[in-house]
Order: sequence, then structure tokens, then C-alpha cells
Amino acid sequence: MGEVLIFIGCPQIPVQSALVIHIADFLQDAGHHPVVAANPSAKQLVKTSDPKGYYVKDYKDLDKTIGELADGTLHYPLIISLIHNDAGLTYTATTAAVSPDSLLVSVLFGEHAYELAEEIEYPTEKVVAPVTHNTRPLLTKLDEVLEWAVLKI
Amino acid sequence: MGCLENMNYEVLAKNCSFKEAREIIKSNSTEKYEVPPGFKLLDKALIGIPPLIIGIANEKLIYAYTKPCHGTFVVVVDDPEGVEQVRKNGKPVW
Repeated sequence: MGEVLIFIGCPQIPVQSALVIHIADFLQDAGHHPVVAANPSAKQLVKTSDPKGYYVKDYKDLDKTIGELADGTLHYPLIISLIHNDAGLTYTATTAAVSPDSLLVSVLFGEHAYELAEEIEYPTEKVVAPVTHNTRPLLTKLDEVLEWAVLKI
Repeated sequence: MGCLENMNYEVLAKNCSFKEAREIIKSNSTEKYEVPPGFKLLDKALIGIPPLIIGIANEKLIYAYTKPCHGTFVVVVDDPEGVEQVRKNGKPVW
């Protein structure tokens, strides 16, 4: 079982760090190794929530990860991207372009989740709910998609 | 080569969406080139939704620079090496 990338952006929306832990837990149970690509503040929030690295042991810099995917020095069969703003959409579209062989899951949340989801033009499986504090509306669909995604890789 | 912070640059627009940035680049450039996402400038892979446009005006590069928490900026960068690289490897668009 290989590494799976969880790609996260600005940690402004409270559900983001909780979703990272939830996804990492799911991946570990499925026998995969979660790696989180994040900017420093988003990484710090996840590390604070998981100080002993029980859920996430490995972190990577967001921009460096894109560079390595573009160079072909890094590849993940599955990338799960958490998106809540235009920048997150832009980073994920870049990831889709530089790593076209990866299965890409886009998890959209925050106030503008539906509008952002409509703008997506890259191939991806979308999980969408306009939540900020309550993860519940996302979890059922997210778990369904994760179960399907880990079977595909 | 080096980091954007070490270059002579100005910010043409900030906190815009990537689509808005693309239009600002087009309207402020005399030459326009399409490059693939991940195209490297200053040793850094460019972030962007295809088509990714880089402009040139007055021998300076004009392109979008996205930060996760601050959205997309349009920057004008005095980078002669980058200008040469974009002219050589980019696809001209009109």
C-alpha cells in the first residue's frame, strides 16, 4: 500500500484540520500512508491537533510538492485536495495538470463551496457542502468517495 | 535565478481570482504566451488554471502569483532571463 497525498490550503475555515485528521485516519485503516502538503500555518494547525503524529507523520511544503509533481520526481496514485477559496481551486487545477495520472478527489467546503465546484474544469470526483464549522454534511459523501477511491488505486 | 522577493518587481493587482488575473495580464501586455502549469520561473513552479498566460511589456514579465491565504496577485517582474525563457518555450497567443 502506498502513499496518498492530502493537499490543503489556507486554514481559515475551521473544518479543514478536522477533515485532514478524518481522511488520514480513513487512509491508515485502509492500509495507506497519508502525506499532507500544506503551507506553514495549515501544517501547524494539523500538527497541534495531532502532536504525536498518530494520524499524520509526514508533511510536505505545498509549492515544493507542486514543483516535484511537475518535474516527475514525485507521484501519488491518489490526491485528495481540500478547497474553500479561489487559491485552493487554482492550486488543485495546477495539481491536476502536472499529475494527470493521479486519481484526484476535490473536497469543497466553506461559504462558496457550490460556486467553486461549478468552476472546476479538471477531471475530479467532487465532494461538496457549504460548511464552515460542522463537518457532518460532508462526511457521508466523503467516506463513500474515499471507499471507492482507495479501491481504484 | 532567485526568489521573487529578491527581484525588482511591482504588484499590478492583488486579491483577485485567477480568471481576473488572466484578463489583467492580457490587457497589460504587448506580447502574450501560454505555458503549462508547473512552468518554472525563478526556480519555482507556476501555479495556475490552464490556460496559463504570461505577458511581456517593456521587457518585463507579467504573470499571476497565487498564495493560499492571499489569493492571486499580478506581478510585473524585471527578469531578463525569464523573458528569454518565456519567449523560447511559451506558445504565443494573440
